[in-house]
Amino acid sequence: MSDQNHEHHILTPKMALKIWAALMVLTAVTVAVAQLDFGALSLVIAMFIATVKASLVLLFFMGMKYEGYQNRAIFGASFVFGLIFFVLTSVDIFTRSIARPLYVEGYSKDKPLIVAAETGPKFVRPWLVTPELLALGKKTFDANCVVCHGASGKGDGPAGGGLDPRPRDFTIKAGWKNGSSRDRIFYSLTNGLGAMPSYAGETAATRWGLTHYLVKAFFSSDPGKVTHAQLKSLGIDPNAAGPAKVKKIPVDFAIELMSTDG
Amino acid sequence: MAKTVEHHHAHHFDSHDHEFDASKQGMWLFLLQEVLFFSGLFVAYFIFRGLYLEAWIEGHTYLSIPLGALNTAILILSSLTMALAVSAAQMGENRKAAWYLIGTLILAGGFCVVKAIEYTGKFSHGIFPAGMMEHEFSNPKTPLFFSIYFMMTGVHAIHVLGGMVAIVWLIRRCFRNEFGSNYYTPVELVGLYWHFVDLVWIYLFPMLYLTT
Repeated sequence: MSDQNHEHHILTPKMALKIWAALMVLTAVTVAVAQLDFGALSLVIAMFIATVKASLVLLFFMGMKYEGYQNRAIFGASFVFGLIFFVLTSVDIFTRSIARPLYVEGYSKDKPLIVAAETGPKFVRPWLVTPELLALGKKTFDANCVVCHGASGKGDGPAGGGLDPRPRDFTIKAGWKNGSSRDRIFYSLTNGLGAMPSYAGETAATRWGLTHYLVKAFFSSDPGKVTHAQLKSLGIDPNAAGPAKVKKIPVDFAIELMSTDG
Repeated sequence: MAKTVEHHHAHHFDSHDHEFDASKQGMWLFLLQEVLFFSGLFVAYFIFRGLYLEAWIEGHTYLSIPLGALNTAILILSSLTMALAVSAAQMGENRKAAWYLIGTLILAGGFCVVKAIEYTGKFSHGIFPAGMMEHEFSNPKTPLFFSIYFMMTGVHAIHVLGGMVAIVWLIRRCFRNEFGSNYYTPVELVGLYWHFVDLVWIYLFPMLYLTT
Protein backbone atom coordinates (compact mmCIF):
# COMPACT_ATOMS: atom_id res chain seq x y z
CA MET A 1 0.00 0.00 0.00
CA SER A 2 1.53 3.28 -1.02
CA ASP A 3 0.96 5.78 1.75
CA GLN A 4 0.91 9.49 1.28
CA ASN A 5 3.16 11.20 3.75
CA HIS A 6 1.54 14.13 5.45
CA GLU A 7 3.43 17.27 4.67
CA HIS A 8 6.79 17.22 6.41
CA HIS A 9 8.27 20.61 6.62
CA ILE A 10 11.27 21.05 4.31
CA LEU A 11 13.75 23.74 5.27
CA THR A 12 14.54 25.81 2.19
CA PRO A 13 18.19 26.60 1.37
CA LYS A 14 17.36 30.30 1.68
CA MET A 15 16.03 29.87 5.22
CA ALA A 16 18.93 27.61 6.15
CA LEU A 17 21.39 30.27 5.00
CA LYS A 18 19.61 32.96 6.99
CA ILE A 19 19.83 30.89 10.16
CA TRP A 20 23.50 30.19 9.48
CA ALA A 21 24.18 33.91 9.02
CA ALA A 22 22.39 34.73 12.28
CA LEU A 23 24.45 32.11 14.10
CA MET A 24 27.71 33.54 12.74
CA VAL A 25 26.72 37.08 13.73
CA LEU A 26 25.80 35.94 17.24
CA THR A 27 29.14 34.13 17.52
CA ALA A 28 30.96 37.33 16.62
CA VAL A 29 28.84 39.23 19.15
CA THR A 30 29.60 36.82 21.96
CA VAL A 31 33.36 36.98 21.27
CA ALA A 32 33.22 40.79 21.13
CA VAL A 33 31.18 41.11 24.32
CA ALA A 34 33.62 38.81 26.11
CA GLN A 35 36.38 41.38 25.56
CA LEU A 36 34.48 43.85 27.75
CA ASP A 37 34.25 43.49 31.50
CA PHE A 38 30.76 43.14 32.91
CA GLY A 39 31.92 41.42 36.07
CA ALA A 40 29.59 38.70 37.23
CA LEU A 41 27.17 39.58 34.44
CA SER A 42 29.64 38.44 31.78
CA LEU A 43 28.75 34.80 32.26
CA VAL A 44 25.02 35.56 32.26
CA ILE A 45 25.31 37.51 29.01
CA ALA A 46 27.41 34.79 27.38
CA MET A 47 24.92 32.11 28.39
CA PHE A 48 22.04 34.23 27.15
CA ILE A 49 23.61 34.66 23.71
CA ALA A 50 24.42 30.93 23.64
CA THR A 51 20.79 30.16 24.41
CA VAL A 52 19.60 32.38 21.55
CA LYS A 53 21.97 30.53 19.19
CA ALA A 54 20.87 27.18 20.58
CA SER A 55 17.23 28.13 20.08
CA LEU A 56 17.86 28.93 16.41
CA VAL A 57 19.53 25.54 15.91
CA LEU A 58 16.76 23.79 17.82
CA LEU A 59 13.78 25.52 16.22
CA PHE A 60 14.91 25.61 12.59
CA PHE A 61 17.74 23.17 11.94
CA MET A 62 16.23 20.55 14.25
CA GLY A 63 12.68 21.47 13.17
CA MET A 64 11.30 21.90 16.66
CA LYS A 65 9.20 24.80 15.40
CA TYR A 66 7.19 22.34 13.33
CA GLU A 67 7.13 19.48 15.80
CA GLY A 68 4.07 18.24 17.65
CA TYR A 69 3.67 18.54 21.40
CA GLN A 70 5.08 15.09 22.15
CA ASN A 71 8.62 15.72 20.95
CA ARG A 72 8.53 19.21 22.40
CA ALA A 73 7.56 17.76 25.77
CA ILE A 74 10.31 15.17 25.55
CA PHE A 75 13.08 17.64 24.83
CA GLY A 76 11.64 20.23 27.21
CA ALA A 77 11.61 17.65 29.98
CA SER A 78 15.34 17.12 29.59
CA PHE A 79 15.96 20.75 30.42
CA VAL A 80 13.51 20.69 33.33
CA PHE A 81 15.31 17.77 34.93
CA GLY A 82 18.70 19.27 34.12
CA LEU A 83 17.59 22.44 35.85
CA ILE A 84 16.41 20.54 38.95
CA PHE A 85 19.79 18.82 39.06
CA PHE A 86 21.65 22.11 38.80
CA VAL A 87 19.51 24.13 41.23
CA LEU A 88 19.35 21.57 44.03
CA THR A 89 23.07 20.82 43.82
CA SER A 90 23.92 24.52 43.86
CA VAL A 91 21.65 25.19 46.82
CA ASP A 92 23.36 22.40 48.72
CA ILE A 93 26.90 23.54 47.97
CA PHE A 94 26.51 27.28 48.20
CA THR A 95 24.51 27.36 51.42
CA ARG A 96 27.14 25.45 53.35
CA SER A 97 28.46 27.81 55.98
CA ILE A 98 31.07 27.44 58.58
CA ALA A 99 31.68 23.78 57.97
CA ARG A 100 34.22 25.48 55.86
CA PRO A 101 36.26 22.76 54.13
CA LEU A 102 34.80 23.33 50.67
CA TYR A 103 35.94 26.90 50.43
CA VAL A 104 39.48 27.47 49.33
CA GLU A 105 40.86 30.74 50.55
CA GLY A 106 43.55 30.62 47.89
CA TYR A 107 46.67 30.34 49.93
CA SER A 108 49.71 32.25 48.95
CA LYS A 109 53.07 32.30 50.64
CA ASP A 110 53.27 36.02 49.99
CA LYS A 111 50.10 36.87 51.84
CA PRO A 112 50.91 39.27 54.67
CA LEU A 113 50.42 38.02 58.19
CA ILE A 114 47.02 39.08 59.45
CA VAL A 115 46.98 40.87 62.76
CA ALA A 116 45.11 38.81 65.30
CA ALA A 117 41.81 39.69 66.86
CA GLU A 118 42.02 40.75 70.42
CA THR A 119 39.10 38.88 71.92
CA GLY A 120 39.55 35.65 73.77
CA PRO A 121 42.25 34.42 76.11
CA LYS A 122 45.48 36.35 76.19
CA PHE A 123 48.76 35.13 77.44
CA VAL A 124 52.10 36.70 77.95
CA ARG A 125 54.63 35.28 75.47
CA PRO A 126 52.33 32.52 74.23
CA TRP A 127 55.11 31.03 72.07
CA LEU A 128 56.52 29.50 75.25
CA VAL A 129 54.81 26.28 76.30
CA THR A 130 52.75 26.35 79.46
CA PRO A 131 50.17 23.91 80.79
CA GLU A 132 47.44 26.54 80.41
CA LEU A 133 48.28 27.04 76.76
CA LEU A 134 48.30 23.31 76.17
CA ALA A 135 44.87 23.02 77.76
CA LEU A 136 43.58 25.90 75.62
CA GLY A 137 45.09 24.24 72.56
CA LYS A 138 43.50 20.91 73.32
CA LYS A 139 40.10 22.45 73.95
CA THR A 140 40.29 24.41 70.68
CA PHE A 141 41.53 21.39 68.75
CA ASP A 142 38.75 19.13 69.99
CA ALA A 143 36.13 21.72 69.14
CA ASN A 144 37.35 22.87 65.72
CA CYS A 145 40.00 20.64 64.23
CA VAL A 146 39.02 17.04 64.92
CA VAL A 147 36.33 17.23 62.27
CA CYS A 148 38.98 17.29 59.53
CA HIS A 149 42.24 16.25 61.15
CA GLY A 150 40.74 13.46 63.21
CA ALA A 151 41.04 12.75 66.90
CA SER A 152 44.26 10.87 66.12
CA GLY A 153 45.65 13.84 64.21
CA LYS A 154 46.14 11.64 61.16
CA GLY A 155 43.98 13.70 58.83
CA ASP A 156 41.21 11.12 58.92
CA GLY A 157 38.41 13.23 60.34
CA PRO A 158 34.90 12.73 58.89
CA ALA A 159 34.80 16.01 56.96
CA GLY A 160 38.30 15.58 55.61
CA GLY A 161 37.48 12.64 53.39
CA GLY A 162 36.24 14.77 50.53
CA LEU A 163 39.22 17.05 50.50
CA ASP A 164 42.08 16.85 48.10
CA PRO A 165 44.76 17.07 49.30
CA ARG A 166 43.73 15.33 52.52
CA PRO A 167 44.05 17.22 55.81
CA ARG A 168 47.56 17.16 57.25
CA ASP A 169 48.54 13.99 59.09
CA PHE A 170 50.38 15.46 62.07
CA THR A 171 52.08 12.19 62.92
CA ILE A 172 54.13 12.23 59.73
CA LYS A 173 57.05 14.62 59.38
CA ALA A 174 57.25 14.65 55.59
CA GLY A 175 55.29 16.86 53.23
CA TRP A 176 54.48 19.87 55.42
CA LYS A 177 53.94 22.63 52.84
CA ASN A 178 54.91 25.41 55.22
CA GLY A 179 57.24 23.43 57.45
CA SER A 180 56.59 21.79 60.83
CA SER A 181 58.53 23.94 63.28
CA ARG A 182 56.40 25.76 65.84
CA ASP A 183 56.63 29.12 64.08
CA ARG A 184 55.55 27.56 60.78
CA ILE A 185 52.58 25.84 62.40
CA PHE A 186 51.56 29.19 63.83
CA TYR A 187 52.03 30.73 60.37
CA SER A 188 49.79 28.10 58.74
CA LEU A 189 47.08 28.59 61.34
CA THR A 190 47.21 32.35 60.89
CA ASN A 191 47.20 32.45 57.09
CA GLY A 192 45.29 29.29 56.30
CA LEU A 193 46.65 26.60 54.02
CA GLY A 194 44.91 24.84 51.14
CA ALA A 195 41.36 24.07 52.20
CA MET A 196 41.98 25.18 55.76
CA PRO A 197 40.89 28.78 56.20
CA SER A 198 42.80 31.37 58.14
CA TYR A 199 42.29 31.31 61.90
CA ALA A 200 43.52 34.84 62.37
CA GLY A 201 40.16 35.56 63.97
CA GLU A 202 41.36 33.62 67.00
CA THR A 203 43.78 35.30 69.38
CA ALA A 204 47.47 34.64 68.96
CA ALA A 205 47.38 32.77 72.25
CA THR A 206 44.79 30.36 70.88
CA ARG A 207 46.91 29.73 67.83
CA TRP A 208 50.03 29.21 69.89
CA GLY A 209 48.05 26.92 72.19
CA LEU A 210 47.04 24.86 69.18
CA THR A 211 50.65 24.81 68.00
CA HIS A 212 51.94 23.54 71.33
CA TYR A 213 49.15 21.00 71.61
CA LEU A 214 49.88 19.70 68.10
CA VAL A 215 53.53 19.16 68.96
CA LYS A 216 52.80 17.55 72.29
CA ALA A 217 49.98 15.28 71.18
CA PHE A 218 51.08 14.18 67.72
CA PHE A 219 54.77 14.79 67.09
CA SER A 220 57.26 12.02 67.78
CA SER A 221 60.03 14.55 68.39
CA ASP A 222 59.93 18.17 69.51
CA PRO A 223 60.94 20.68 66.81
CA GLY A 224 62.32 22.95 69.52
CA LYS A 225 61.49 26.36 70.87
CA VAL A 226 60.59 29.34 68.76
CA THR A 227 63.66 31.48 68.19
CA HIS A 228 63.71 35.26 68.19
CA ALA A 229 64.53 35.25 64.49
CA GLN A 230 61.48 33.13 63.78
CA LEU A 231 59.31 35.44 65.89
CA LYS A 232 60.59 38.43 63.97
CA SER A 233 59.81 36.71 60.67
CA LEU A 234 56.26 36.29 61.96
CA GLY A 235 56.12 39.99 62.69
CA ILE A 236 56.08 39.42 66.45
CA ASP A 237 58.28 41.53 68.68
CA PRO A 238 59.45 39.17 71.44
CA ASN A 239 59.99 42.05 73.83
CA ALA A 240 56.61 43.65 73.36
CA ALA A 241 54.74 40.89 75.11
CA GLY A 242 54.36 42.76 78.34
CA PRO A 243 56.41 42.59 81.53
CA ALA A 244 58.25 39.35 81.94
CA LYS A 245 57.34 37.29 84.94
CA VAL A 246 59.81 38.07 87.65
CA LYS A 247 61.88 34.99 88.38
CA LYS A 248 62.88 34.22 91.93
CA ILE A 249 66.50 33.15 92.19
CA PRO A 250 68.19 31.36 95.03
CA VAL A 251 69.77 33.68 97.60
CA ASP A 252 73.34 32.37 97.34
CA PHE A 253 73.20 32.83 93.54
CA ALA A 254 72.04 36.40 94.10
CA ILE A 255 74.98 37.01 96.38
CA GLU A 256 77.31 35.52 93.79
CA LEU A 257 75.87 37.82 91.08
CA MET A 258 76.31 40.87 93.27
CA SER A 259 79.87 40.06 94.07
CA THR A 260 81.07 39.64 90.46
CA ASP A 261 81.75 42.36 87.96
CA GLY A 262 79.43 43.33 85.10
CA MET B 1 10.08 17.30 -8.46
CA ALA B 2 10.37 15.10 -5.38
CA LYS B 3 11.48 11.60 -6.18
CA THR B 4 10.32 8.56 -4.26
CA VAL B 5 12.00 5.26 -3.60
CA GLU B 6 10.65 1.85 -2.88
CA HIS B 7 10.29 1.50 0.86
CA HIS B 8 8.17 -0.84 2.89
CA HIS B 9 7.51 0.24 6.43
CA ALA B 10 7.93 -2.36 9.16
CA HIS B 11 4.78 -4.41 9.66
CA HIS B 12 4.13 -3.30 13.21
CA PHE B 13 3.59 0.28 12.01
CA ASP B 14 0.31 1.40 10.41
CA SER B 15 1.93 3.57 7.75
CA HIS B 16 5.08 5.26 6.55
CA ASP B 17 4.14 8.25 8.67
CA HIS B 18 3.71 6.15 11.75
CA GLU B 19 7.14 4.59 11.23
CA PHE B 20 8.76 7.94 10.59
CA ASP B 21 7.17 9.59 13.62
CA ALA B 22 8.13 6.70 15.89
CA SER B 23 11.71 6.76 14.61
CA LYS B 24 11.97 10.49 15.11
CA GLN B 25 10.55 10.29 18.60
CA GLY B 26 13.12 7.64 19.40
CA MET B 27 15.87 10.05 18.40
CA TRP B 28 14.38 12.85 20.51
CA LEU B 29 14.28 10.49 23.48
CA PHE B 30 17.93 9.71 22.87
CA LEU B 31 18.69 13.43 22.74
CA LEU B 32 16.88 13.86 26.06
CA GLN B 33 19.36 11.39 27.49
CA GLU B 34 22.22 13.27 25.85
CA VAL B 35 21.15 16.51 27.53
CA LEU B 36 21.19 14.80 30.92
CA PHE B 37 24.46 13.07 30.04
CA PHE B 38 26.19 16.38 29.39
CA SER B 39 24.40 18.03 32.30
CA GLY B 40 26.62 16.10 34.72
CA LEU B 41 29.68 17.86 33.38
CA PHE B 42 27.90 21.19 32.96
CA VAL B 43 26.74 21.21 36.59
CA ALA B 44 30.23 20.23 37.74
CA TYR B 45 31.65 23.11 35.70
CA PHE B 46 29.31 25.68 37.23
CA ILE B 47 29.62 24.43 40.81
CA PHE B 48 33.42 24.38 40.75
CA ARG B 49 33.50 27.71 38.95
CA GLY B 50 31.43 29.17 41.78
CA LEU B 51 33.82 27.74 44.36
CA TYR B 52 37.12 28.38 42.64
CA LEU B 53 36.58 31.36 40.34
CA GLU B 54 40.23 32.43 40.39
CA ALA B 55 41.33 29.00 39.25
CA TRP B 56 38.78 29.19 36.43
CA ILE B 57 40.07 32.61 35.37
CA GLU B 58 43.65 31.37 35.42
CA GLY B 59 42.77 28.19 33.53
CA HIS B 60 40.93 29.91 30.73
CA THR B 61 43.93 32.11 29.94
CA TYR B 62 45.62 28.98 28.61
CA LEU B 63 42.89 28.43 26.00
CA SER B 64 43.09 30.01 22.57
CA ILE B 65 39.99 32.05 21.79
CA PRO B 66 40.76 32.21 18.03
CA LEU B 67 40.96 28.42 17.82
CA GLY B 68 37.78 28.04 19.87
CA ALA B 69 35.98 30.57 17.69
CA LEU B 70 37.25 28.80 14.57
CA ASN B 71 35.85 25.51 15.82
CA THR B 72 32.55 27.22 16.58
CA ALA B 73 32.39 28.57 13.03
CA ILE B 74 33.30 25.14 11.62
CA LEU B 75 30.53 23.38 13.53
CA ILE B 76 27.92 26.01 12.69
CA LEU B 77 28.78 25.69 9.00
CA SER B 78 28.58 21.90 9.32
CA SER B 79 25.07 22.29 10.74
CA LEU B 80 24.19 24.29 7.63
CA THR B 81 25.54 21.63 5.26
CA MET B 82 23.77 18.94 7.29
CA ALA B 83 20.46 20.84 7.15
CA LEU B 84 20.88 21.20 3.38
CA ALA B 85 21.63 17.48 3.15
CA VAL B 86 18.40 16.66 4.97
CA SER B 87 16.41 18.98 2.69
CA ALA B 88 17.95 17.37 -0.38
CA ALA B 89 17.12 13.89 0.90
CA GLN B 90 13.55 15.04 1.59
CA MET B 91 13.32 15.90 -2.11
CA GLY B 92 14.79 12.57 -3.13
CA GLU B 93 17.96 14.25 -4.49
CA ASN B 94 20.43 11.63 -3.36
CA ARG B 95 23.55 12.94 -5.08
CA LYS B 96 23.03 16.46 -3.75
CA ALA B 97 22.47 15.05 -0.27
CA ALA B 98 25.64 12.97 -0.61
CA TRP B 99 27.77 16.02 -1.45
CA TYR B 100 26.33 18.07 1.37
CA LEU B 101 27.07 15.16 3.70
CA ILE B 102 30.64 14.99 2.38
CA GLY B 103 30.95 18.70 3.16
CA THR B 104 29.69 18.05 6.68
CA LEU B 105 32.18 15.23 7.08
CA ILE B 106 35.10 17.38 5.95
CA LEU B 107 34.09 20.14 8.34
CA ALA B 108 33.78 17.63 11.18
CA GLY B 109 37.26 16.41 10.33
CA GLY B 110 38.46 20.00 10.42
CA PHE B 111 36.98 20.37 13.90
CA CYS B 112 38.91 17.31 15.05
CA VAL B 113 42.14 18.64 13.53
CA VAL B 114 41.80 21.95 15.40
CA LYS B 115 41.03 20.02 18.59
CA ALA B 116 44.12 17.89 18.07
CA ILE B 117 46.22 21.04 17.62
CA GLU B 118 44.83 22.43 20.86
CA TYR B 119 45.39 19.23 22.80
CA THR B 120 48.95 18.68 21.62
CA GLY B 121 49.66 22.32 22.46
CA LYS B 122 48.43 21.70 25.99
CA PHE B 123 50.39 18.48 26.37
CA SER B 124 53.59 20.13 25.19
CA HIS B 125 53.19 22.65 28.02
CA GLY B 126 52.70 19.85 30.54
CA ILE B 127 49.00 20.57 30.85
CA PHE B 128 47.08 17.35 31.36
CA PRO B 129 43.99 16.41 33.35
CA ALA B 130 44.56 16.81 37.09
CA GLY B 131 46.37 13.80 38.42
CA MET B 132 48.62 13.71 35.36
CA MET B 133 49.32 17.42 35.49
CA GLU B 134 52.92 18.52 35.10
CA HIS B 135 52.49 22.26 34.77
CA GLU B 136 52.60 24.49 37.84
CA PHE B 137 49.89 27.08 38.32
CA SER B 138 49.61 29.89 40.82
CA ASN B 139 46.18 28.77 41.95
CA PRO B 140 46.09 25.28 43.52
CA LYS B 141 42.69 24.49 41.99
CA THR B 142 43.53 25.24 38.34
CA PRO B 143 44.25 21.54 37.56
CA LEU B 144 40.57 20.96 38.36
CA PHE B 145 39.62 23.39 35.60
CA PHE B 146 41.67 21.37 33.16
CA SER B 147 40.11 18.10 34.25
CA ILE B 148 36.74 19.58 33.43
CA TYR B 149 38.05 21.10 30.18
CA PHE B 150 39.50 17.81 28.93
CA MET B 151 36.44 15.82 29.96
CA MET B 152 33.93 18.19 28.38
CA THR B 153 35.77 18.76 25.12
CA GLY B 154 36.94 15.15 24.99
CA VAL B 155 33.51 13.65 25.45
CA HIS B 156 32.15 16.14 22.94
CA ALA B 157 34.88 15.17 20.45
CA ILE B 158 33.94 11.51 20.88
CA HIS B 159 30.39 12.49 19.93
CA VAL B 160 31.76 14.26 16.85
CA LEU B 161 33.67 11.11 15.85
CA GLY B 162 30.56 8.98 16.34
CA GLY B 163 28.62 11.40 14.17
CA MET B 164 31.28 11.17 11.48
CA VAL B 165 30.87 7.38 11.36
CA ALA B 166 27.10 7.78 10.95
CA ILE B 167 27.61 10.37 8.20
CA VAL B 168 29.92 8.02 6.27
CA TRP B 169 27.18 5.40 6.44
CA LEU B 170 24.66 7.91 5.09
CA ILE B 171 26.94 8.95 2.21
CA ARG B 172 27.18 5.33 1.15
CA ARG B 173 23.41 4.94 1.20
CA CYS B 174 22.95 8.18 -0.75
CA PHE B 175 25.24 7.01 -3.54
CA ARG B 176 23.05 3.90 -3.68
CA ASN B 177 19.96 6.12 -4.17
CA GLU B 178 18.27 4.71 -1.12
CA PHE B 179 16.42 7.88 -0.09
CA GLY B 180 13.31 9.55 -1.45
CA SER B 181 10.57 11.94 -0.45
CA ASN B 182 8.71 9.01 1.07
CA TYR B 183 11.71 7.70 2.99
CA TYR B 184 14.61 9.74 4.30
CA THR B 185 14.42 8.82 7.99
CA PRO B 186 18.12 7.95 8.54
CA VAL B 187 19.21 11.31 7.15
CA GLU B 188 16.69 13.13 9.34
CA LEU B 189 17.79 11.30 12.48
CA VAL B 190 21.52 11.70 11.92
CA GLY B 191 20.76 15.35 11.19
CA LEU B 192 19.06 15.75 14.56
CA TYR B 193 22.02 14.13 16.30
CA TRP B 194 24.49 16.32 14.45
CA HIS B 195 22.68 19.55 15.29
CA PHE B 196 22.67 18.48 18.91
CA VAL B 197 26.44 18.04 18.83
CA ASP B 198 26.67 21.59 17.47
CA LEU B 199 24.31 22.76 20.22
CA VAL B 200 26.55 21.39 22.98
CA TRP B 201 29.57 23.18 21.50
CA ILE B 202 27.57 26.43 21.30
CA TYR B 203 27.56 26.31 25.11
CA LEU B 204 31.04 24.84 25.60
CA PHE B 205 32.74 27.64 23.66
CA PRO B 206 31.68 30.58 25.85
CA MET B 207 31.88 28.53 29.05
CA LEU B 208 35.44 27.34 28.57
CA TYR B 209 37.01 29.96 26.33
CA LEU B 210 35.21 33.19 27.16
CA THR B 211 34.62 32.56 30.81
CA THR B 212 35.61 35.80 32.48
